[in-house]
Amino acid sequence: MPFRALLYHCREALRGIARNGFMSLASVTTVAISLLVLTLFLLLGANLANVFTWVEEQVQIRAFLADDLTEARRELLMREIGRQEGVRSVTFIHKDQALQELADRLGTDAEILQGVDSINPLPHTLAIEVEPEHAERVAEMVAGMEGVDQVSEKGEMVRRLVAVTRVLRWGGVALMALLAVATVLVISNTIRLTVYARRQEIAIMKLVGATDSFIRAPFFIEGMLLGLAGSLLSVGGAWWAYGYAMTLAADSVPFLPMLPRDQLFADLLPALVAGGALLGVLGTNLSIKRFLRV
Amino acid sequence: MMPLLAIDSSAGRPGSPGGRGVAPMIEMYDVSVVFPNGARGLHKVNLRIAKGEFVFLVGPSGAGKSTFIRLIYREILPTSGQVYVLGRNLARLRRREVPYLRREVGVVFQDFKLLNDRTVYDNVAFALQVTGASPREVRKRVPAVLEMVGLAHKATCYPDELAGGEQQRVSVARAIANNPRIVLADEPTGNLDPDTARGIVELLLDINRLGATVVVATHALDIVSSHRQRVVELRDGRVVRDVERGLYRRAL
Repeated sequence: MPFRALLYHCREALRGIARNGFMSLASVTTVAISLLVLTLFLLLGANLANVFTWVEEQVQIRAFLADDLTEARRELLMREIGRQEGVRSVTFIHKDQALQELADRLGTDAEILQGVDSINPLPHTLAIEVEPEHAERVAEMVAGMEGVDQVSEKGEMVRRLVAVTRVLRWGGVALMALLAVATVLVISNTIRLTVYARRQEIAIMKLVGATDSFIRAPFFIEGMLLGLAGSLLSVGGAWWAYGYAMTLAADSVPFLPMLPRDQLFADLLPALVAGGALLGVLGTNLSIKRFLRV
Repeated sequence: MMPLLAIDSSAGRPGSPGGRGVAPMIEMYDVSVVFPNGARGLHKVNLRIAKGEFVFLVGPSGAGKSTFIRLIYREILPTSGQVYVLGRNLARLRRREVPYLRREVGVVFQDFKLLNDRTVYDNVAFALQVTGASPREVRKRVPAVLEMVGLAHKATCYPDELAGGEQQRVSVARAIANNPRIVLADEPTGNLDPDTARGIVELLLDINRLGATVVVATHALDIVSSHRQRVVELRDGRVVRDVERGLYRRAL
């Protein structure tokens, strides 16, 4: 396309946007909201995935040992557990060490432990690092072993979380699809208004021999601009929201790792901008097919 | 200065009838048009219009004059029969080829079809811009055609500031802007008083003298009679009379 034709199409596209000011605004807003929801889902998804990797690394089975277990028996037990498939390591935690860890975790609240020092109620513990998919089996096996009083397994929680995210993910996909359809329809309607406003010009263009692609071009540019504007707004909104979420998380769940904002958005931005433009083009296409008939 | 309309050395004498060694511009063979609602537009029309001819298409309202015109610029296709324009079978013309045909066929309507939010100059320039002309071509061509239709001094006016006849001249200027080989006019004088109408027809005759083949659909019979040109009369979609210039003169 020659440069002056492109210039002409862009000018016509901007005229179209200005002419349907309100509908253009509605389109941009719809694109922005749709993409904002999409972006938030993506951000949530990326962070959940990140948290899971972190949680999975924390999957640990704790076996609380009977008080009267001898050191030799304990060594035997540890070797036996270490041989199981999926077990990465077995570490012995002395009850005094466990108490110390508890005190550390409680921090300033540790004073409630005063007086417990002398009669440490905590058992000796084996910390078993295990691959998540083997956690359940290993936990059962360990529970049945002689000298093991009780087993606590955190794998169940992870599995439940994973199941919840799956639901979240599919729900998100469905919601995003619906929003994408709504966006396409709203853009299509805006373009339809421009087509309607320009029907006389279009008739004359056809009459004097303008090609179909020449007639269509400004409408595609208009749709694309609406999509782009919407996507940029949504990225701005998501940027702010993510920053806010990070501040909140830093206060309430500081131990949860969150992905750094700059990197995340650098990855997402091109896809979101392209997505907005694509929705615009799809909306235009729908309108052109139904109303322009060129 | 560049010619306003391309004059081909092989062009027939203005006003010469079709056939006889002159390249046909428009040919219709057994052309019938039936509209979706069942109304008949044309019925088995056979006609040849040669390069350089000027043809009046007459007949009462509903005789099929507009249908005839619309076939030539391929607004519609015949239900049966063949239409050839510039040697191309229009039924075989691909969609994307239609715009290029239309650049060779200028059309003028009774209601002018001007864009009221653009000046006279811009209305004419529009036809060139949307067919990919360079700004330089536009700057050369628009004043030339405005000069030809006698509206050079109204270039900056808007259509609704002009009289009907002047508006129609703008519409003619736009039709010839792309230097078409065929100019069609569908009741170009329908909204104009007789004197103004005469002026428009004179203008179309001038365009014909410069080499374009011109077809004018009209029911202004006094104008037709005063110009000794070929007359094709339609009635109920059939050609009931086709009088060449010589014959027509004898009939007077």
